[in-house]
Amino acid sequence: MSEKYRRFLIVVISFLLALVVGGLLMLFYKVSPIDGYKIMILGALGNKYMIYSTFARMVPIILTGLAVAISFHAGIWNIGAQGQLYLAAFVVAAMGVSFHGVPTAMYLLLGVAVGIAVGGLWAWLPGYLRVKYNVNEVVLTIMLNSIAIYFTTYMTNGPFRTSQGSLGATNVIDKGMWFRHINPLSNLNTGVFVAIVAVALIVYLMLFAKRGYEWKMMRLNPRFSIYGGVSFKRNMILAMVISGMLAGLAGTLLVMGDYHRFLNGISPGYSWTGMILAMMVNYDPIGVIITSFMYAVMISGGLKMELILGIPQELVQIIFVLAVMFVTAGYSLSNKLSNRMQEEG
Amino acid sequence: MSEIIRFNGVSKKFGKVVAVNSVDLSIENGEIHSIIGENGAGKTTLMRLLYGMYKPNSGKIFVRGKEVNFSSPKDAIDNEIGMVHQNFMLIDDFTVYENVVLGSEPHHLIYFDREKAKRKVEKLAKAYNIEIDVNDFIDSLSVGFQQKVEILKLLYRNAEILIFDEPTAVLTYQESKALFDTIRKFKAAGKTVIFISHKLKEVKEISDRVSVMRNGKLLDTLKNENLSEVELSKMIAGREIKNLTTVSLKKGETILEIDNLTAMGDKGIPAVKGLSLNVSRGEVLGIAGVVGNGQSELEEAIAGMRKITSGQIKFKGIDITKMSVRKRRELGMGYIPEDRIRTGLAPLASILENIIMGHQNEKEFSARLDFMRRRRAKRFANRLVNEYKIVCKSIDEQVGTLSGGNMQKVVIAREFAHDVDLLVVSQPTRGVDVGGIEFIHKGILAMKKSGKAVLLISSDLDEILQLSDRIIVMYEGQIVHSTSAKNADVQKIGLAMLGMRS
Ligand SMILES: Nc1ncnc2c1ncn2[C@@H]1O[C@H](COP(=O)(O)OP(=O)(O)OP(=O)(O)O)[C@@H](O)[C@H]1O
Ligand SMILES: [Mg+2]
Repeated sequence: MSEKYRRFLIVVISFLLALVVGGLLMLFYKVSPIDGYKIMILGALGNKYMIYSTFARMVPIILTGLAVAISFHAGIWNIGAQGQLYLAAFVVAAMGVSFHGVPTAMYLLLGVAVGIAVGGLWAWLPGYLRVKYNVNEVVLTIMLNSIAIYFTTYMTNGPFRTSQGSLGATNVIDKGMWFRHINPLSNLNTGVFVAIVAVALIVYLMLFAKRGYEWKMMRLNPRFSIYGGVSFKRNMILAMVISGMLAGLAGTLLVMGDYHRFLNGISPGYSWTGMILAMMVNYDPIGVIITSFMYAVMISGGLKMELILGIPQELVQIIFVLAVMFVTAGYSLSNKLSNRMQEEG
Repeated sequence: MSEIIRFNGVSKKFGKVVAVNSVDLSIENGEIHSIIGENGAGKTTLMRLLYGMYKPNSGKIFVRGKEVNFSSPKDAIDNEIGMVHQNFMLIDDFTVYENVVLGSEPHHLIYFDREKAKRKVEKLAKAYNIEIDVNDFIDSLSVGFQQKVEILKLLYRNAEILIFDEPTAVLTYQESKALFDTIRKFKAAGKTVIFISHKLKEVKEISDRVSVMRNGKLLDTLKNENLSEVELSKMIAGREIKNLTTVSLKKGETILEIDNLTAMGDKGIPAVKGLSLNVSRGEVLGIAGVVGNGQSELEEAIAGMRKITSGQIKFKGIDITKMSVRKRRELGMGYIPEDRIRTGLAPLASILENIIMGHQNEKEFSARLDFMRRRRAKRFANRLVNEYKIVCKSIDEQVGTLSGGNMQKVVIAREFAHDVDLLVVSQPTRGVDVGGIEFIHKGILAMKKSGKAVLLISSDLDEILQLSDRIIVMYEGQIVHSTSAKNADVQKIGLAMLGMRS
């Protein structure tokens, strides 16, 4: 059995197992698991609008998931997706509340470009310091997270504080910068097309391009990659920058498509979810796509379950955490088993 | 003599690969027993079965007449069996004696009795002529000394049966000599030694009896005194292995010119000191010398993996002193590094991924938009695996699970497959079986014949003498002797390697 296939199987089985446990928990609420999951699936994929909403939920997770995946894949540990997301989102929003009258098409393009650039730049810094001065990028990116988050919080309480009531947010951005909703009944907006393009590019880069191969070798043995002629430092910074760009794009789309303003709570841990997903599938981009989809279905459906059946949404979180635990346990178990199997032939 | 170990129809499979195939072998108490055989023949696996690292699929193992069923090396150690692996397992920032006693420290009440530990370790070392300062830290020791620590660890745990898996592959000539002295002491003390090596000279020198393995099977066990090196190599490979000879060709244009090169070692001490040399098309320049005299730093400097402090390197007339590794490769430089596992391979990556490295930028494998032609890469890898007889399940197998010699072949195959003008090759046959050595030597000579320049670095003087057109000797970062192969005087070279002038 190939390694990849085995991992895929483990992830699927773990999710199923977690769902079984989740089903047992539903019994506490006097709900039959079958009904519960029916509502969950229907709530997430029952009709066009629900499918749209599920996709909308998937966008930030898949982008942050790939952001983490690409850097980890190359052996540089970007723990700073959250900060990159925040800073990009804020700068885009700041631009959107400050300038008016820019033609829509241009403004959309500009917004996305600026957001990506800010995210990339915020990741370039630790990447550069790592390569140039051998500063630990994990510590660095965690610090930069705090800086970005404190900075944006300060700005939304100070210079960019909204004049429209609620605290901890900027004003609504210029309408020329809005990605419009595809359908008034769901959150999905035209920003999803930008996300699709980005995802396609990353999949290509990681699975089909030479660069993806070189990144992987850098992670598996840096010295070997240098020996083989890989420009180690350049490639490392590049992985970091692309990672930051993706996180930045996630923030940008949240501002331009979902909230039309920057909020302090704009990312309720998307980047951490993304990181868990990426690690769960061993940085495989297709795996990230599949697991983000499953996650989005569970979250969307979980809302519906609460509404209709009175089961708290947290159940879905529990199921997710269980799945993560099972995957981790599954990997070590399967390694042991496969060693034994190999030995016993 | 009585029998101390007996394998009875022992087999071991890894998936479909039968690494050890119903082996019957008897080791006698107090003998030095060598095990030889091709790369991937199953020598290491057989020994790991005895050491409790694997369990046999079938068959029985007896120690001192009693059937044993080890589930871990700990059980083996409890039965006074110890094994020295090629990759040592020592703690770098512990001292020698701390490493030796680790896990079974002498106690005084509840305190670790350091003085007693030191005394015990020193006594052991003395008893077996092992020269070492027990207060040294591991990371300051050369490979040879680290091996001594491994041996002391076994002795400290009262090992009576000692297994050495290719112990001399990484040792200098002098270190090997010292190891042999120690092994003879073991024998004198009544201990049993099992010795694995590809160096038949050593096998001949040290063994009482020799067992030959091929394809997992034990072919035969013979008394050493009745054997010659030629016979041994014939038994290993199943055919006659001839020593190759080389003919000098007319020298072509100069390909590599090194002028007054100085480079630092890892610890910031100059390792290459003002070295100049040149290599031309159609010649093999051999660099002889004891390991650790700046050869590693020199090869890395040429390949572009080590910054140099001063001097100049010219390749095909172009100054490449500041050029990246990739540009050097694109210009036509191939490089087989000394340290295959750390530098030449990514053990966790697949054979395919390892074989394509360095070729990934070639037109054959890369298209526009950074696209990688994976299907072609697969075909290429499969071709090399067949051509070089790399024993593996498929090209998707991790390189790290191959036998030692087969890992080497992956590197050799990859670098030979380049169309290069210069091949820098370091210790090419370390750990390779006799058949493999012949193959690699043929490859090097074929390169020379086709008009390429070869810079051969080897601590194996026979190899240097056999393949080179010119020979230089490196000692403490400098060239201390230089001669044409025709006029080479082995005596002089040997002395020069030790830094003595004749
Ligand atoms: N852990 C493992 N998993 C899978 N296959 C293995 C493993 N260890 C060894 N093998 C395979 O078993 C066979 C015998 O390997 P082994 O290492 O015993 O050979 P060897 O005689 O020691 O060779 P060498 O001289 O090259 O060290 C090889 O084909 C090898 O690929
Ligand atoms: Mg071996």
